[in-house]
Amino acid sequence: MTLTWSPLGDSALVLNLNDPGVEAQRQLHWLAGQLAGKAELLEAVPGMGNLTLLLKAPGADLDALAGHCLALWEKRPAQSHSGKLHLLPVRYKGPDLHLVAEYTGLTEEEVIARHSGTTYEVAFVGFMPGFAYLTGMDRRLAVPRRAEPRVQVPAGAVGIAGSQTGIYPRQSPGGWQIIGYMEQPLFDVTREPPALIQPGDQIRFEVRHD
Amino acid sequence: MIEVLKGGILATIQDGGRPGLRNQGVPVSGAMDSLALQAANLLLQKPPLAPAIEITFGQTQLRFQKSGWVALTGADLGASFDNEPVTPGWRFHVEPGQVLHFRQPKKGFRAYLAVSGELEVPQVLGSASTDISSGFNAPLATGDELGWRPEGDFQAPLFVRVPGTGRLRVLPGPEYESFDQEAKTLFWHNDWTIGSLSNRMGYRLNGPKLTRLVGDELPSHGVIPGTIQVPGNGQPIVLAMDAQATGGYPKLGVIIAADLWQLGQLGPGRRLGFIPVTMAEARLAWQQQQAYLKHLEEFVAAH
Repeated sequence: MTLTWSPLGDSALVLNLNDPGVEAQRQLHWLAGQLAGKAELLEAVPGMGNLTLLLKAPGADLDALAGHCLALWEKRPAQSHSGKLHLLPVRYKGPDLHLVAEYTGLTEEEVIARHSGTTYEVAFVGFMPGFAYLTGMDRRLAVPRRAEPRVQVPAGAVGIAGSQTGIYPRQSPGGWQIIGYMEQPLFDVTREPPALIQPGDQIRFEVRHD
Repeated sequence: MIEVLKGGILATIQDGGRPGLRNQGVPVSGAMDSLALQAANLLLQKPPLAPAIEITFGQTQLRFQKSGWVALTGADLGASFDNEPVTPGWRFHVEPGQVLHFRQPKKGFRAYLAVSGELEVPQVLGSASTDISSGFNAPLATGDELGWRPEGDFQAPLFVRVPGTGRLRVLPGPEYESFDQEAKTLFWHNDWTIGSLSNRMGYRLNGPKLTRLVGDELPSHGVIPGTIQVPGNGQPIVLAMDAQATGGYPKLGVIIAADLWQLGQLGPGRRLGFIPVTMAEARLAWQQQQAYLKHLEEFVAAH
């Protein structure tokens, strides 16, 4: 597994892994943590098997920065997990639960058991404030997106799209199949950091019946 | 106080935005034409990225309820001040009851109005910028009243000039080599038209179709304003200040930091072109822009 890099304009660069897996993603989060506080760096943004580094101002030596990152990468620990585990209560009463059951050939109870019976890992946060990209969903639960996206999906909606699952941090249009809802706000501008779920964290959904 | 007599097409408060929160999924936002924002604030001897009003396309009408100084930069949106035409680049004095009225673009697309002292606007995550898709603050609406505490006095009106727009200078992006030779040639030599579905998140460009040598899907990655993405339909999208923090389309190029402000002066229906530069040229352009702002600051201080 090798880490390569390329410039992204004159004020950013992208580090890329050629063969990412769960452990490599954890090591990228470790690298992002190591780079936090580096003087010329504004931030390190994890993607899926990649890390984008943004400079505070254009003009710094990207080659030197990349060299520093590649040297750090060589020192990465074999086991590097340091994320937080969140237990998120979900009411599995979404309007598409029956559809997911029908499509997958499972009962609604089996869909709920499989969705809540997994520990998910946050690959990265993006798309909208507080939106976490989760890995680790049971493959049996994969379903296509809705043919026609809903105009409004409420905040806290838990959905499935293809082999991905996730939670809408705020009300928005959306095409994911909604299987449940959670109440805890995912993004709060008064919180530090504002996103409840951070890159590298782990998540378990707990079934709530009330 | 500043009274919004007419909100217009789109007028928002913008400052330096929310840099450093992309790993929380937060777009950077901030002024689309950061150079014009900085010039407006420097004309009033304020911090260059202090909040100001960004007026898009026009129709906005503002009535000042206090006496103080203001500065207008960016696009010429056919503004008149108490029915006298006023062109961008001016710092001038306002009296209670006077009205600044923007009509429609004569040149450029976004104007900036900075005010002396403080504009009392809500801060979200350290910025007063409006980010519509994230739900942070709202555009100015007819009937709004903006708190204003004027401070400081100047001897006379003052005029400064800002650089004009031209072809946008671009560095090849990480996936540049995955495009075929014809696509590369078309990209640099064609004039692109900005499509109607363009906004502060991104500009969709219309022109010849750009094709890649490989059709692979990329894993999601961080993107920055100025990134030129090419989705499967072969029509480039230039990401702007409200762009989402991560994306997945191949990155053909990135507009250099010194030219990013020019996007703010381009709107739907306008044409734009790109020219390739080297990293060394990009660095020099940035230094020149910083020198221009330094010069502007000294010029204001001397007058």
